[in-house]
This record gives sequence, structure tokens and C-alpha cells, in this order.
Amino acid sequence: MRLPDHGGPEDLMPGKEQPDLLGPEIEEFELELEKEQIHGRTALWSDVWYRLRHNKLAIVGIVIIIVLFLVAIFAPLLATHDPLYSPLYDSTVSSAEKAGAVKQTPNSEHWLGTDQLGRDIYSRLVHGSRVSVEVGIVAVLISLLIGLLFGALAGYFGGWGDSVIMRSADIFFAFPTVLGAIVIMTVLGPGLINVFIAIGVLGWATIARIFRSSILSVKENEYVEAARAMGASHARIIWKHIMPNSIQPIIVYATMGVGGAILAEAWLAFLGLGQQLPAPSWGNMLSEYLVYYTTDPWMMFIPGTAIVLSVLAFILLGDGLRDALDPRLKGSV
Amino acid sequence: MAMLIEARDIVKHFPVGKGLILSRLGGTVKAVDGVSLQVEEGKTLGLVGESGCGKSTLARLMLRLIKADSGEVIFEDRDILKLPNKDMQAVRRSMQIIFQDPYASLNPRMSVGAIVMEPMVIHGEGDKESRRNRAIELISLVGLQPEHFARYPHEFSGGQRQRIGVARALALNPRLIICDEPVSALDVSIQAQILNLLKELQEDFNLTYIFIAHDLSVVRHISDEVAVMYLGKIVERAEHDLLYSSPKHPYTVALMSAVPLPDPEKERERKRIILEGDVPSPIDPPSGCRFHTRCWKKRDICAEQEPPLEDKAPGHLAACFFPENL
Repeated sequence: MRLPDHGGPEDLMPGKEQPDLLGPEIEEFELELEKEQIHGRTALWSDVWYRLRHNKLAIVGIVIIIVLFLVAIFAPLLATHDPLYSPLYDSTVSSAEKAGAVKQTPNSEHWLGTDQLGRDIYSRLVHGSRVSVEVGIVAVLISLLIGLLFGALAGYFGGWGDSVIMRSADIFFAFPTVLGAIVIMTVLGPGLINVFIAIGVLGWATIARIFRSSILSVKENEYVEAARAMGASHARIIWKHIMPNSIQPIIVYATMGVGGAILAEAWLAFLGLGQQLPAPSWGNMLSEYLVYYTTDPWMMFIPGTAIVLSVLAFILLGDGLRDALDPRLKGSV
Repeated sequence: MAMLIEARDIVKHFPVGKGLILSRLGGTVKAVDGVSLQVEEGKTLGLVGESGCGKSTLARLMLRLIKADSGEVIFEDRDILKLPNKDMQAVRRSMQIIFQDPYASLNPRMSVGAIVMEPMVIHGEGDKESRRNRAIELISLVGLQPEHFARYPHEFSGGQRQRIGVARALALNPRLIICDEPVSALDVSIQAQILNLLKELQEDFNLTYIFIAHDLSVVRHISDEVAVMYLGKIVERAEHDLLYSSPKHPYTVALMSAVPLPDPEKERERKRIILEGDVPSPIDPPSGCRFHTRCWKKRDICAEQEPPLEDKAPGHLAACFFPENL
């Protein structure tokens, strides 16, 4: 946008002095306006994406998450070896070779080395990513399903249902997550499906609480009253008017929750309650390799780093989403 | 002329505290305490009063958005407070509301088109195509451009948003529109535009308005009849000319004296009545006449007996033992 030239006769108001134009500021303002015009039309979600794109940390998070998902999806193609194959249990391998096959440091054949049973760590890591991704998604979906339903009932209808739901949520809060998960896992027995259930069920209380408080503030808006005056059903009011305006904190929490679920799975696997050996998960790899921390400390850092990076990625994305969804909050929390 | 809507002795008390114990200890806010009024078809009733006097609660009670403790609301010859929900749904087509805050009354996640079409969707009116055409027609009718259809509320100014609210209220061809302070959040220049729009629409579609405001000059512009509320009760009701030329209740007189005059000379000579004190708490309203704590004409009887709302002059109701301008 070009500014009018100073001193052009058509720019001068008769009998008035030409006002001092603040060149760069005005130009910036015009740019801002143009941006607004471009982005106003397609409105809110593209706005969110626009702000997210300009957040470098969130982009780092997104890239790591995309890599993680691709690795999980294409694990069989990316793995160089059978993650379960151990030369120690292979009768065709001589005992001299067996001694040399275990705990190799990274080399051209085994990119991340081999473990105490001579298994390829890289292939185990790649296959283990599937567990983390599955736990992250399924557990959070279970939490969302229960949490959103009860949160909506409690927040929208209030009354004694609200009290019952929120007091039960308090009971779930009273359990430390891991202790609660251990209790549930003890009842259900170890195994991956039960990990989903344990982590998912324990997460509902927070989501219900966040959603409830968000609904409480949104439902006071006059557009909700307008919808009631039109005769809209409760389902329609919740779905069309309250949900889209109160879901933002849930999106942020759920994104971070995926990271939390990955961490919780690692915890449980570490205690032997998650994915059962010999099938790999990052958690059980960590617990296996930790034993060798005095002699071969590099081994435990491989699954450890993978866990830290993926949890961090979801936290970065969640953080970026929070700023992008509500720019007013930026820097305040 | 037939009455379109009539409220008979409506009462709404809100418990102050929540929960089992507090609600018994705290008493009740007597938001609306026995209000009766009627509006003829095609007319406008202006409802004025200070903040917190129960105007908006009354509006919501008449639309059955909140449940009344007692009383009747007769709309189209039926008591809508006793209708089953299914029949109420049909009645809602004919009664709509326009809100005060143009920023809170439109869902920010819905486009203007979706907002205006929503009443039609809810009541299963027409197909997609006809709803769309009707919405575009309504958007033009309230003075916006058809290309605003796909835009979102945050792209509009307060006055434009209020026009969207009007379009939404008109979508189902209602007979009654309750305007809950529709202009008090707007600039004065925009206020006039919206008021004129509402007047034009009333003439074109034979609409009936209940127009709520805390500003007598706004009400004067649009009303046929005016009712003045104070602490949950109507203290005066009359034809608009009667009320403005000879207010009877001291509260109305005081309210009128607060309206500034555009002529500076008259403004200087104008005698203003400045009421002492604040509006008493509606939790424990004063005995007798509720206005007696602030009234300059107060005598003993005012604190002892409640003055009935009765004719002080033909067609001029006021609730006062010692009315003005007789």
C-alpha cells in the first residue's frame, strides 16, 4: 500500500495544513487491515491456524508429532530387523557369535545398537512407537467421551446431577493417577487394552471439570437465551451454541493429555503392567535397559529420549494452541 | 382492538442463596411482584425503570424463558404459562426477543446467514434453498448487504450486529417482539437508526412491541403506551402523550426531570428533581409504597399502606396517594 505523496496539491485540505503522516505506522496498520480482510472471511479456525503457524515452538511440536505418527503407521516398513528376533535363542548361531551379538553400540548394521538379548534396538523403538501413539489417542478419546458427556450434563443442567457428577469427579481427583491406574490394572490384569481403559477412565474427571466451568460461563450469553426463545432443543443448544464456544480449553487440555497418556503408559510398562514382553513399548524398553545403567548407560537413553521428545511435542503444540485459540491470554499464564 | 398479550399479576421471587441452608436464610429478591399489563396488537408498550427494577425479568417471564412463581400470561387467548412444552414450541414462533448487548447476543461461531436461518431450521420451515433466500431477504430488509450472509459477527459494528439480531427475530414472522433495551448499548446516532428501523418494520408487518429501556427519551420516540416500573411493580401506566405531558407518580416526575433538553436556555431554567439515596434492596423492599423512602411528598400513610394502581385521570393509571398534575 503506497502512501500519498506529501505536498501533492490534491492531498491538501483547503486552508489547512497537511497533517503529519506517520509513514511506517500507517503502512503497518494498512497491512494489518489487509490481513484482517483476508482472514476475517474464512474466520475463526483459519485465524487459529494463522497464529499457530507463527509460533515456532508449536511448529517444532507439530513436526515431531507428524514424524511420530508416520513412524507408527509405517513401522513395519521402517524397521530394519524383526524386533523380536534374538540371536541368543537361535540354534543356528554359534555361541561365539552370540557373545558378540549382544549390547553392540550403534553401528551400520544395527543403527541404534543391540540390547542384552541381541535384538535390534532401532526396530524395537520403531515398533514401540505404535504403542505410544495408540495409548495417547485411545486413552484421550475415552477420557473425552466420558468427560465431555458428564461435563455437559453437569454444567448445562446443574442441580443435583451436577453435584453427583462433580463429587464423583472429586473422588477420581483424590487418587494419584498412577496409583489409580495400578489399582485398575490390578483388577483388570496387565495388557495393552487395559492400559487404555485405566488411563482413559482416570482422565475423565479433569476434562469434565474444565468443560463444566467453560459451559457455565458460555451458557450465560444472550445467544443461548436467544436460542431458547426460538424454541431450540437442549441438544441443539449444547451442540451448536455452547460446544463451539467452550471447547477451546478442552482442545488444549486433550492435546497435552496425549503427552500425559504416553508418559503414563511408560510408567505402567516400567512397572510391568503395560505392554507385555517380548513385544516392545517404550516403557518396557526403558525398564529393561535401566538395569544396565552402570555398564551400558546409552541404552536407556534411547527409549528415554523418544518418550521425552514426544511428550514435549504434545505440550508444545498444546501451549501453542492455547495462545492461538485465545490471543488475549498470551503471556498471562 | 384486540389484546395480543396480557400479563396478569405475575410474580417472580429469586432465592438469594443457593443450596439447602442459604436459600432458607437469605430471603428472596422480589424481582417482579405482581405486575399486570396488556398490549394491543400493532402497538408498542414502553417499559421504563432504573436498572434492577425487574424489567428484563418481566420480559423473560412473558416469553416463558424463566418460570413465573404465579400469575398468567395470556397470548393469543391462551395462558402460555400452563401450556405443555410441545404447544409452547408453536407459540414461540409468534414471540421473539431482541437483546441489549449486540456482542453477546450473536453466537461468534456462526455466520450471519446461519444465525438468521436458525429459527427456520428449528421450526422446520422450508427447505435449504428457501431458507437461504428468506435469510438474504431479511438481511437486506434490516439494511445490511446480501454479501454479508457468509460473514461472522465479529466483522460487524454494534449497530450492524443489532440489525442482525432484528433479522433473526423477524425470521418466523412473529406477532410480538420484546425489545430488551435494544439500543442502550449503542451510540446515540446509531440508536436513532435502529429505532427508525424498528418503527418501519412495525408498520410493514403489523408487529407488536414491548420496548424496554431505562431512558425515557428513547421510549418516547417509539411507544404508544408507557409503563413505569419501580422495584418490581408498575407505578404508572398511561398513553404516551398523557404520561409525558402530565406525569402523575412522583417517581415518573423525577425520571422526566432527569432527561436533558436540547435547548440550552430551557435546560438552564429547567427544575431538576434529584432523588435522595439509592434504590432500596429488592430483597426487603420498603413497606407500603415502595417509593416512600425517596419521595418528597411522603406522609405517614405511604409507609403503612400500599397505594393501588388505579385511574387518576381517564386512561391514566398511577399508584400514589398524592399524585402530581391533577
